[in-house]
Formats: sequence, C-alpha cells, structure tokens
Amino acid sequence: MAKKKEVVNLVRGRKQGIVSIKETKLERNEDFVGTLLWGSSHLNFSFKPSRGAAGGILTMWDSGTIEVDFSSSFENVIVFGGRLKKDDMLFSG
Amino acid sequence: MICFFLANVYAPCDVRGKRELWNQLGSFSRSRAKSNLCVCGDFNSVCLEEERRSRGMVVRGVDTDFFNSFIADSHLMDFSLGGRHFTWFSGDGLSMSPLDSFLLSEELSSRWYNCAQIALQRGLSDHCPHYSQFR
Repeated sequence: MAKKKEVVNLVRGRKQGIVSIKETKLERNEDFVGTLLWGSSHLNFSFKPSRGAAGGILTMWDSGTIEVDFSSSFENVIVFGGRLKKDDMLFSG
Repeated sequence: MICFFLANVYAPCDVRGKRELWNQLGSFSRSRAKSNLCVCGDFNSVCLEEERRSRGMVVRGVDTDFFNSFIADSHLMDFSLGGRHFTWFSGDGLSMSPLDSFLLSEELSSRWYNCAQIALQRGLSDHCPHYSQFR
C-alpha cells in the first residue's frame, strides 16, 4: 500500500509525457492504474499483467503530448509507435 | 511531429530468458534501426562487470557479453546516468548495480544529443526511479 502511494506521488510530482513501470506485480488492470491517471483524462496506457506476484509492465502516456498509433507486446516487453506533438517530453521509469 | 517507437522492457533474471529477450528485442530494434527508437527498461544486466558491486564473487561474464552484443547489434546507444551511479540495491544494501537505463537508436540520439537520464533517490522499491527530459 505504501509502495503504491509512493508511485502515485512520483508520477504526479511532475508533468509526465511517458511513464514506464516495471515489476508492477499486478495480475489485473485494477483500480490502481486508474488512480495513477494523474488527474487527467489525457492519459492512456498499455498493460501487461504479472504472472502471480512476478513481473508485470505498465506504460502510460499523456495523449496531449503523444499520439500513439499502435501498441503491442511480447514476452517481457511492451512496445508502441507514435508521434510526439511537443518539442520536449519528460520520460520516467 | 516526431515519429518514434518505444519499448518498455522488464528483463528476466535468468541468462536463458534474457538471451531469448535480446533475440526478440534485437529483431524489433533492427527493423526500426533508421527510426527514432527508445528502449527503456530494467535490463537486469550491466554493460561492464565492474559496474556491479556484489558481496560474492559471481561470474556473469557471459551475461554481460550477450547484453553488449544485443546493444551493438541493435545499433542502440546507452547514455550516461546522472544523479547517482547505481539504480538497484539489494535488501541488505551489500549489492548494487546500474540495471535500469534508456537506450536510444542513432537517429534518436543525434536528435536528442543533449539529454541526460537522472536517477532519483530510492524509496521503498529496490530500484531508483529515473527520468529523462527529451528536447
């Protein structure tokens, strides 16, 4: 619980372009992902569930900064292709 | 607008799993070699054996070789980490490694040549959060 709070504070602490989180330990796309949507309707995400308590990847992006054309995944990886709408971007991991 | 590709990676700990990952990710990266590509992740690997601090004498030379081959064959570039040297610490604080980073394709690194990645102070996780400002 404390870890989740820490992640929320980190994500919300800056105006983010892309955030990538590893080892989420989340099997389902639960409410936590919603909580992370830094108070904006501009947020999109791509989610790869964990196997039990192991692994799990989450990529989130601000649709005001990035227009994503496709998103897919393979073992241990989430990929996407898109266009950057602004001149600069903050990318956190 | 700049077109770009992003891969978010969470590498397994075992050498065999990592080898499979480098193969798959290598093909993906090579197919986008002329594009703006950023591969970001917890690679569970380091480029130089000396970058690790470990309490035991563990020989991981093969692992490092595979990781370096993957970076070179994929035409990716690792750029320096600011703020702190290590991004991962074991629970007892005796082992530490720079396991997390952003790798950029040549195209992207020439566009964002003055970007730096900054690792922040570690909190409850065993990894430090890190970020990069691209401009």
